[in-house]
Amino acid sequence: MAGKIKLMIDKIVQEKSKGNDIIAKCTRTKLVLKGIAVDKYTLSSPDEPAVIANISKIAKEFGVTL
Amino acid sequence: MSVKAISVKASDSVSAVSEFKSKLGDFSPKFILFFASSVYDETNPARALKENFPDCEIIGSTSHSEYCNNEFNSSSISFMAIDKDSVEDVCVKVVENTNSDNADYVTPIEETYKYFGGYDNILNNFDKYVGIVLFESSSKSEEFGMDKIGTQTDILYIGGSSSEMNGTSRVYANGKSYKNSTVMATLKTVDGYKIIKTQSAEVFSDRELTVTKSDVKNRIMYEIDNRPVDEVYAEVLGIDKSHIADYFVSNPLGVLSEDEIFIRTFNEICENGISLHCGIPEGTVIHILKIGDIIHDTKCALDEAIKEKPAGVVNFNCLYRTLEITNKNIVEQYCELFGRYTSIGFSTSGEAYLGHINETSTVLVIN
Repeated sequence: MAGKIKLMIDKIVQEKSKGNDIIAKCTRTKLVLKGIAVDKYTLSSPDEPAVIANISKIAKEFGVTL
Repeated sequence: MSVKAISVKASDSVSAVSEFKSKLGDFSPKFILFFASSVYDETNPARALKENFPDCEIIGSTSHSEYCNNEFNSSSISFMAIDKDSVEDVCVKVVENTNSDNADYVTPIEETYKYFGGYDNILNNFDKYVGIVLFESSSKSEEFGMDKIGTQTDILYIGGSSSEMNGTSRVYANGKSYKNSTVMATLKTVDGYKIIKTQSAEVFSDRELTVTKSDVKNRIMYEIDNRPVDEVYAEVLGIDKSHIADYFVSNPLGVLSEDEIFIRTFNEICENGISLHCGIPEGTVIHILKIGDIIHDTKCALDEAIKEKPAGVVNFNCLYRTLEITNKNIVEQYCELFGRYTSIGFSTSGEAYLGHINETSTVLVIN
């Protein structure tokens, strides 16, 4: 399987920002600083279990349901 | 005038505040921000301020050295007094015990939401609300604090960490002095704000490096790309591993997010790794940077962001950068840049914007 990580990242940014461009940019930066290389993942990227687990944890902290 | 910036040198805090009050005249501040040389700590400038301005919200920090308008000082206090024409309302909160794992950043943020009538109210006026955050630096927990703040809220907090010269590092809020604490002031501005983050650094190598073994809490990096950090750092720079420490100042590390660079500076070589001034989580992609021209880069950043005369400017300038401009004898040129505005600043032990940062200047512009 592939692409799950990018979809998770996009969902977090979308849910957090609710269309506010500044919040969207800041959320992407917050993810980067938490160790998630947001630009690295595409719809072809392999579904790495460790990264998925980390993003799931971050989403929960953000209050985002994936 | 809705913002005043005043520098005072005195024998103690009571005398300094008395002189500040005299210089303010009939100006009636809603909020006072101050950066006081640590030589004033024994006489607690916050207490003297609260006694003289009981209806005013007040926060501050100790400092190694202070900026005020076009001046650079030591053993001084830089005050910024802001009235209701620029800041409509302020909510000050303190997070204590930041040296423990249980520091509670959630409750103060929830209380801030409540103070301002709920988060939706803030979100609907997002361009008016901004936070100032001051970390007491001896906790060495700023990256956790900024992560918790950033996770809990979308309000943008900008600031820095206390520094000191011949004294004790402290932060202050409404009359009290704190160790191992973080002070947060959330402002509802009248005409909005801008945030500038400027660092005189650019990418030295396009080679992307992934942190694969790291101790964030103790700020030690052990491995990059599953290899010893010193080996990879030397390889990218094209130098012998035994000389890496000579390059720590000129070639720090950077985390890139879109067009922004978040600098992480080196501390020293330690057993099996290198200690830093900011912990980096595993999985983070980093680049090796090279340091540039601080005057040119700061001017460009200020000129690009500030097109109209602002009410006030607050500069959280890394102590490393202060030492650099001092050593290069370019303090006057640097201060001229900020002398164009009503401004204060201090030499910080770390800067804050979205995360904990090193070797950077974070600047709050109050429109």
